[in-house]
Amino acid sequence: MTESTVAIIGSGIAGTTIAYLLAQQGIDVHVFEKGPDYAYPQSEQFVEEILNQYDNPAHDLDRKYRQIVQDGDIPFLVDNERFFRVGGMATRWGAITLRMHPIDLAIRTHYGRGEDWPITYDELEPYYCRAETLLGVSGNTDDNPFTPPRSQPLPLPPFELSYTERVLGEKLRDHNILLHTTPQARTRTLYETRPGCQNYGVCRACPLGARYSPGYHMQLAQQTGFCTLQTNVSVRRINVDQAGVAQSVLVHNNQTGEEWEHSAQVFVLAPGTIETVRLLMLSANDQFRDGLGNSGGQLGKRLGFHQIRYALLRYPEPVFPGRAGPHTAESHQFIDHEDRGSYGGVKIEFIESEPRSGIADPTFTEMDNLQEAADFFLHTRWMWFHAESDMTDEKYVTLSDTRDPFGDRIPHIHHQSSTFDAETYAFSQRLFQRLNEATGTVSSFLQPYEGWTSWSHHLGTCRMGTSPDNSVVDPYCQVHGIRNLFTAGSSSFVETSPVNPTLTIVALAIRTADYIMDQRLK
Amino acid sequence: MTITRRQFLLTFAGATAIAAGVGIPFVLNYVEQIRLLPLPDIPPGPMDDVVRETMRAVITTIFVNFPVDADRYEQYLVYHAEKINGYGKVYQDFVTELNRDSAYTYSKTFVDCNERERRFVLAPWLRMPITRDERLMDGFGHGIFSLQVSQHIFRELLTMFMNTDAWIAVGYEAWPGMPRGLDNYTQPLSSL
Repeated sequence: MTESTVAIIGSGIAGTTIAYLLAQQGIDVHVFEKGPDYAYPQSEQFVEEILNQYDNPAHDLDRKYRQIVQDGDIPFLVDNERFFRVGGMATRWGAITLRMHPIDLAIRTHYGRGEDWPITYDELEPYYCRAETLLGVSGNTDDNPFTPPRSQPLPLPPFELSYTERVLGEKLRDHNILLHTTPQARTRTLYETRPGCQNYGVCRACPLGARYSPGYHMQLAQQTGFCTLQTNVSVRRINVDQAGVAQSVLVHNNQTGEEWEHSAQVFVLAPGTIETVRLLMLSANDQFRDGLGNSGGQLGKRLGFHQIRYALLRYPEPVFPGRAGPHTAESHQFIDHEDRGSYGGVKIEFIESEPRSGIADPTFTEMDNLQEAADFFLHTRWMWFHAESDMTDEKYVTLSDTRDPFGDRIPHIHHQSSTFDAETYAFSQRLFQRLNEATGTVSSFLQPYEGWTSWSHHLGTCRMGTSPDNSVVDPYCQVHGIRNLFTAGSSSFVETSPVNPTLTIVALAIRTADYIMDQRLK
Repeated sequence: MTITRRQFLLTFAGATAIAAGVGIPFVLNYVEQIRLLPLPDIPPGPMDDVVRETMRAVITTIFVNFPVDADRYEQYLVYHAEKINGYGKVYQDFVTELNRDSAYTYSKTFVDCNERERRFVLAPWLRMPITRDERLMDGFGHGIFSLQVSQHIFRELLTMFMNTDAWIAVGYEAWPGMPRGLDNYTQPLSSL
């Protein structure tokens, strides 16, 4: 048996945020990470992946420990969007840090569909400010009339639009579409000990640490002497006693097979949405027969994926994409609209970063001229349509009968897109047509309805609410019925909203950390 | 800088056996088949000097008309030989076969060949037989190993080129992976 004051399962951005905040206050924290360590800053990964084109398998968890059964209409392998290592999915994220809009937290009130969050934007706003400071967010909301209200400016200046985006932006403005800069967790200038971005443009393996990765705060947490990080271990169960108090977790060393129990005063589950709901289900006992926090039958239900589709815009003149790694232009103009009761909001992202395959296919058999081979790339702008999705009875996570090497049932994900999703896609198509007409494309392509990715935006299944009858966690992410067990991450999301989830994840994590310190450890 | 058709042909066409106007004629379906051919499960290790010198000569032959930093491509090969299972063996075997081909044609090693001779020796490796008849005409008889060379040497070197020096060749100031600063991208390309 080992012990700590607080035990955190998962070292992704949510778990690391809480570990860091607690350790800063001298609270003894033990973090369990299922995957391997992952160097920060990512200079080692830069040499491997960028200079030597080598995806080192040692940087992620063996697939046999992370199986998923999935069915429905998901057009990708969900597990391919998960990264089991120190820092989790935020070791690869795009670092776009957007606040939800006030209406996003009150969809039912405003549009008569979905559910309202049990917290308001005004309650969350101070935590958004703290999250932006924690992550070192660069941006300027002055050029974005659609931005939600804020009480503090962003801590760092913005990344400017690229030359091409300014040219396209002028054409779009003539057609009443506004492009603006994008708040993001990349350091525009020196911030704390993180150097300013130098536009290497390969942010997935940023050698400087300019693009935020949780390893930054995990190292700071460990340096306090109050945070212990243990890697390559799987937490298999949460042991809850008859009084509804979490007493310990069962830990398994992936390499040696050793198992032991770890006790703590408070436990935080932050292993990502899929594994959070899985662990709560696996930890069912005589008192919580259907899983922890599941007295209302909501555990695993109301899964949300952002449906993100790429598009290509081809122009007669070369547009020379790929000159900037940071995200530059977006349009939040269509995040909220008057028909949002019928179909969702859509965020438009213009992409400046490089394609992973280079400016031309190395198997160019038809061209005998490099300029010709690169023609497609040089004349094409990539963009993404980042669409809101609804959470229905046809989108859920449960347990499969298939078992992992430990004998534990693996997750089963079912997802079937809805009429809402189809109508939201039709909206994207109309927007895309407007973009084509406004900017004078010669050809274009929008990924079809059946093809989308969620860019690791796995949301819901342990939704937040005031009553255990219709939710899994309370507004502070405490699991209903178990006062010393909390979740952290996007599993508590009530609705998807159209915007990237990570800033909200961090804001909620900060709020949960405050609550733990004030209400559970005093 | 625009690469002319002539420069490109000089780089890749070489021998008359190569169809005119063909660059690097990898055939995608063969490339896909290569995915089923794993690298040999042989531990990594230091690269032999002969292998290193010969692979350097291969690099300079492939990119003869492009302003590339050959050291970087050589370092790429050294990294793979020293860090990843199987690459060293593929490089070693390729060099052995290449030297056999050059000895057969020119009675000397690949390194000792001049630029034109090197292109002629290299050309059959760069052209994958497409039809059964063409495979039968593959006089050097590289067989299935040539597919492995295609995937793990040529395709990787060309991918690296497309990710780096090709950007400069078509007019960019720098390629992703270099510190490009936060001012240039807000202005028109200086080459325009």
